[in-house]
Amino acid sequence: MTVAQKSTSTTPVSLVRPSGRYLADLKRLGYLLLRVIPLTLVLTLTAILYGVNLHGYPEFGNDDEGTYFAQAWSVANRGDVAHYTYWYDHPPVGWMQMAVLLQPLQWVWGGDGIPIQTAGRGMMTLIAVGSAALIYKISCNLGMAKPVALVAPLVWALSPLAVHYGRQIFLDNIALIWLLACFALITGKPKLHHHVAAGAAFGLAVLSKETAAVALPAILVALWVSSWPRTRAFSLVGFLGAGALLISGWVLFAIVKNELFPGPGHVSLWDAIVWQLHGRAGAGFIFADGSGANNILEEWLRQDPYLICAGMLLSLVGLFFRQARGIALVPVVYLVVALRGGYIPAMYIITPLPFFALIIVYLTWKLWQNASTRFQGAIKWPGRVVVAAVVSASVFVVTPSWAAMSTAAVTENRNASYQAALAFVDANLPRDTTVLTDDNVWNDMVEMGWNADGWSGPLWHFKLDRDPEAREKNLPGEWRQIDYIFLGRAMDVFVGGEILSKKEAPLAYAALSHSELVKAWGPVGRQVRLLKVNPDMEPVDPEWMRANPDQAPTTTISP
Amino acid sequence: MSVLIFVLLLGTVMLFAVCAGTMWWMLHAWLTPENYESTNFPAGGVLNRHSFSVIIPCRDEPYDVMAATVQRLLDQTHRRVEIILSVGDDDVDTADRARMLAALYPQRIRVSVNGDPIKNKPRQLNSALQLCTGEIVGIVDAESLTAPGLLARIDATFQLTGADVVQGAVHLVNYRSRWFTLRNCLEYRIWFRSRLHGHASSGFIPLGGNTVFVWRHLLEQVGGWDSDCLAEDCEIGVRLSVMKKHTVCVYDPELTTLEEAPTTVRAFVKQRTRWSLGFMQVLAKGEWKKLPTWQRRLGGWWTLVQQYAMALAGVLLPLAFVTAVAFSLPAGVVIITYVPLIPLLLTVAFEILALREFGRDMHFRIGLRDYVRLVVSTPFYQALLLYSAVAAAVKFRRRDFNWDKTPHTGAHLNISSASTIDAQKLKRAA
Repeated sequence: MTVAQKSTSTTPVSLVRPSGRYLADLKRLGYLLLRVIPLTLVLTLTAILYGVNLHGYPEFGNDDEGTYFAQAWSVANRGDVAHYTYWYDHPPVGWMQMAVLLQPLQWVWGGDGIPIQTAGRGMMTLIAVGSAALIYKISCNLGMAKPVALVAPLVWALSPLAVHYGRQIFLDNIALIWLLACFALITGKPKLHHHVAAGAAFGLAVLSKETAAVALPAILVALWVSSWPRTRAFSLVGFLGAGALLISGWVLFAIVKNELFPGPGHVSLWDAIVWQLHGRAGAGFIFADGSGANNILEEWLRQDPYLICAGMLLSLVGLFFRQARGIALVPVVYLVVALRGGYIPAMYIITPLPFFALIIVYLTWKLWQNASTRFQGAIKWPGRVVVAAVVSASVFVVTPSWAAMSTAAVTENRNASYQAALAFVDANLPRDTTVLTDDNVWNDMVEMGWNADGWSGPLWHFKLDRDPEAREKNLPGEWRQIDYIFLGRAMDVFVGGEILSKKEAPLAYAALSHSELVKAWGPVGRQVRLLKVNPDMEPVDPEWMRANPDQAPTTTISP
Repeated sequence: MSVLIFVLLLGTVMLFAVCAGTMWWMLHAWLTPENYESTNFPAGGVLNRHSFSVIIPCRDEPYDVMAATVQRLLDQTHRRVEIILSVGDDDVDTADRARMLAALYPQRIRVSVNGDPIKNKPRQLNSALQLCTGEIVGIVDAESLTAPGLLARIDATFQLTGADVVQGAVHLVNYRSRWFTLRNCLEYRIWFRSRLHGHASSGFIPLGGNTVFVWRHLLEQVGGWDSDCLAEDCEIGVRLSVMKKHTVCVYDPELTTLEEAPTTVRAFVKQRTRWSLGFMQVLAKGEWKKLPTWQRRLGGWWTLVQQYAMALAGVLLPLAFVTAVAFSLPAGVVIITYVPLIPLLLTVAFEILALREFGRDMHFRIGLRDYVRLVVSTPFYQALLLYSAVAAAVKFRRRDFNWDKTPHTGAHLNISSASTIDAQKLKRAA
């Protein structure tokens, strides 16, 4: 077979004259460019959408971003897996990857007045471009024509949800690229080494964010479908073996540190897993009005109802197509897990998004194909017209909101007040002060020269009440020893909520209610504020103070 | 401490390369459907065209063992086969047995007696080669049971592929004789089922010493076997590879030659030491340096040293890991020394599957006991391999190249009962 192909392809070339060969070379180059240029354009668009204006959009309103960045910083600068005691909340490989890239990322995405964890968002840019390329590869593997295959990464990259979450430092993004790599390896021609590599990719996905393990049934289905029956046992063992052996490295890490099982005076992997599975309050039934999960769902739907609804419905349809079954199963298993009513973070949607895009494009293409080949003559054209009409209508419907989001992402600066606050703090606060704050600010203050021990410089508010052992050692004066409170958006959102309530966090609450406003930036209700702790003052309600900054007790500081 | 860490990390990288490389070669036949199918191609409907001379080198062989081997060759569906029983003049008993067998079938069996002062297999082969008249010369070990259709298939393979050398598959079958024979059998299985095909397609192949077939004119052209090399099969394979001769491996479970694994630790270590020493000789001789491209030279070098590297890795790896744990090195260092263990453990998992396939192909009933034994014996088997490699290195330094032959007991005959009956029938006739 291959010999025959070779001879037919080489004979004409050897027959033509030198000038003809030159022409053939040109032609081949042309074909190559025709294939490479559109892909390059799609990837460039992705790079722009996910890489420009990273410091301005979205708002630094989520503590997790700063936490992962601080942990990556800690790996790179201190050789320690976390900036506070590592307690196995997530496997550390996600931010270890960021630690490796940290320096070059800072060269590209750093600069004066730019919050430092913008560099961490730069890693998300690289991940978005890689993910888009992998989505294209998976589309090709599913048998789509090359031009059609380009649509899937576009649909994913342009979705407002993907843009919003894909630009932030979330471990789910890091896990996602490994999951996509896993699928790209599995859906191709059956090769055992690809399946072993897919197992390693899956292992890295789980080690980047443990929730990636939810996708395992879907991956196994994809592997079953695309592996060769006579060597299927080898493929399954290779995949599962590589994945399991890699993941067991995390368990080994805990064993080596003697932190596998609970014991006095140390954290443990066991405790962390129990906490992840049972410790967090469930988010309730996702379709029950007012439940936590429902709020998250509504927030997702507000940003992009189209990709979620169409993707979820078509995923159920996609289960009936053998070749796309593994892909379609990913959103389905994520839905099933969400229906259990356990804890769901907002980042949960990151993983199903590319699979929504893949299944939508795959089924549309199948429909077009069927309209073209199944029917003959008279019905053929109406069939095609209907498909084309549906596609055009969809494009027409989604364009306004999708375009608005894309424009906002690359142009708007939602962190102007945060940047102004940082500049003020840099100019006015002495470096030997203890400042209660969130993990985003933590990084910027360390960069400005504060102590990075976690207690005598910036102090992450979570640790004040939740790490009593370290507190007794490092902060015997408790909240009275704190000088300032820097409420970035990521801390301010918790004021008045459970996490910074009098009951859950008495010390942080006490500090907040015994402090005077130094300066506030931005519109009321969405402010970044700097407070000075005054243990001798009459306590005020922190929530009231947030709503009425003009009536709050104030103070001034001199540099 | 930092020196220890540096050495550990450097060693870890190398060990990872060794383990991953070994796993890669081991998996050749199962890597892709194309590879899988290419290990066994249909050759039905091809008429026999060539004549064969099959050399059986014998030394201290029991009569039963020799008779069974000869009987299987006489039973070949291919009719143009002559058998040369090759013995040494110092081994009077075996020579008598050979003459007894030859007397039974004077038309088809001849005896070649080697009179060299030094006794070894390549010398016996060289003197037997002088008696050969067939177009194709084959070597079948004295304790090997060939399948009846083997030579017909080999003939067809020479015709269809234009091969210069055809290597048949050999399986050890007494996998329950001792604790280490299961691993030994599996090693042969993987070698002939998978690895050898990868070597053949890479252009460098150390031939096996059993069920290997070469054009007689080619053997005469290269001057036969290296009469001082303990791994004469590997050595001639290297020289033929350098000449860019085309080697084809045939694998068909129905056509594998059945052989006996050494049944005592002493015999096993002796055999391994001899092979290791032979490979060292081949490496030192340096013929492999004449391979055409640097990739092939690297591949050839790797093939020759791989068994030491693997023997070493199997022991050093756990040792490195234990060292890292015992010295309470930073958790990161411990984790890194764990990484090469991943391909090593994965290899064991694949070996379990290979064992399952072995049982299915050969109609053996492989039970849970066998799988457990496979896994449990791994470190001890590795230790035997390492011991043999070290013993060979010591002998190599002392220039001690004596031929320690593996004794044959006939353990493989019990597995295949039909041949035993044949052997007894022959004995009675004698």
